[in-house]
Amino acid sequence: MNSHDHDPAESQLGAYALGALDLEDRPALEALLSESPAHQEELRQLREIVALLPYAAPPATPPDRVRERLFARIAAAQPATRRTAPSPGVTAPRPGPRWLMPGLLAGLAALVLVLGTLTFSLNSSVARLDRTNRQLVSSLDDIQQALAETQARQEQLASQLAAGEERIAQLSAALARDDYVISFVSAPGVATRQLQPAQSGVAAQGAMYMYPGHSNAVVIFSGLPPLAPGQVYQFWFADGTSQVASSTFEVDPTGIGYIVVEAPREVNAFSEVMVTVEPAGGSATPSRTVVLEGSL
Amino acid sequence: MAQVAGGDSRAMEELYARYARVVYGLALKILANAEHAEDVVQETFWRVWNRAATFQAGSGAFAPWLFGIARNLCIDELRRRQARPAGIGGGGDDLALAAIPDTQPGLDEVTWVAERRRMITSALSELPADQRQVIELAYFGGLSQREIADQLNNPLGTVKTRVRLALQKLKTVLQHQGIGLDDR
Repeated sequence: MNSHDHDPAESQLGAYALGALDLEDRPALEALLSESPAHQEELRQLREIVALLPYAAPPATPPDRVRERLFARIAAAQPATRRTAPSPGVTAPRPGPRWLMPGLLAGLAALVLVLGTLTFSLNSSVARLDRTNRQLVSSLDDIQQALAETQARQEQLASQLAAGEERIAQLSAALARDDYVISFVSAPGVATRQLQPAQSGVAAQGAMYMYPGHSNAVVIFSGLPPLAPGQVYQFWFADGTSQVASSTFEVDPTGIGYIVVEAPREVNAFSEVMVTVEPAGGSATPSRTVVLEGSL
Repeated sequence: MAQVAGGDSRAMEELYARYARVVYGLALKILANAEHAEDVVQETFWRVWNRAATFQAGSGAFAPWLFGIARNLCIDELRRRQARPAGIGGGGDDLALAAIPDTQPGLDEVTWVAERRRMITSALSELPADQRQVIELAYFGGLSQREIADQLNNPLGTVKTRVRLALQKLKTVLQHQGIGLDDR
């Protein structure tokens, strides 16, 4: 047994208004109501609140036969005198001058007709406007949805276009570089120096194309093994006293690669070149892992 | 109502035109059977016609009286069937009164029925789900507080508290909206 079972009777007013009060709770509440006008008023207000609950159910129009049966039943039960007699408590209007009656009746009839026509017209207009409004709202929703889809598609295409342009720029740069290398190595007067493996048993080699008196050179490699992640090849110039770091590079899966290098001065000022394996990003001084070397 | 009590069938027709849709909707919700709901509508207005003279306007508004007749007829029918309509109670189902769709919103938008429907559904939506559930089971399911407690397997005191709080909240919200029930 819960302590709430002994709630004061007044707390049961809501249940009473809802029709949910249990039989055993009724005597106490009805005794309270019989003595308390304030609680009677509270109950009246709660019943009015409860009377709004039917509106929460979706309203529906009953079939015409319900109305027809009801009023046939009413008509059948109604005494003839009741059907025609004026309602009790309603004072019958005093008749006016007889000559006024036809004109008055005609005027009233016309007024009723006008009001009826006006009401019908207004109802029709409201219904028509309502339908039009719904159609417009529906069309607007469709348009907004189509616009959203178009915008999403447009953004997708713009993204694809940007990616395509970036790829074209990369390919154009690579193509320009290839053209430069081809023209460089095939120009008249170019000198070639070979780079040989520094250790026996390695099939790699390099060819350096240069012009005496110029600082630019192109070096083409083949047979270089792909490196582990985090490692790169690095090209070096050397003279009798120092070693100068140059470009880093990688090779493709077949072991082929090339670089365009620019020495700090004319290439024929150096006596040697070499290729080493360095950490990614290159080094300031060469490691001991020399892969290729050559004399200029 | 005085005219109805005096035998004016035209006044009765006006009452029918104004309330029949709500009464039919209520009966459909409770009984979930169109034929029985039609019987309830006819019997409700027949009783209004016959008992109009006993209705005392000073004791309250007309709508509570009318809907009380209709609901009692529905609950009597439910008990006679010894069954509950689908969706009322059981298994913790909450019919979410506030989410009930209006079948004819386009027309109802210009009627006072739609306005009242909007107000009550709005007020119901402000109730916690457990309070809405007890209102649903009590009013539309015809269950007493003890029957609700048994069905939900909740303590009776809890159900009583929910009913009391729900009605208080509805009253506060609806009075705040300024709704009146002076329908005659």
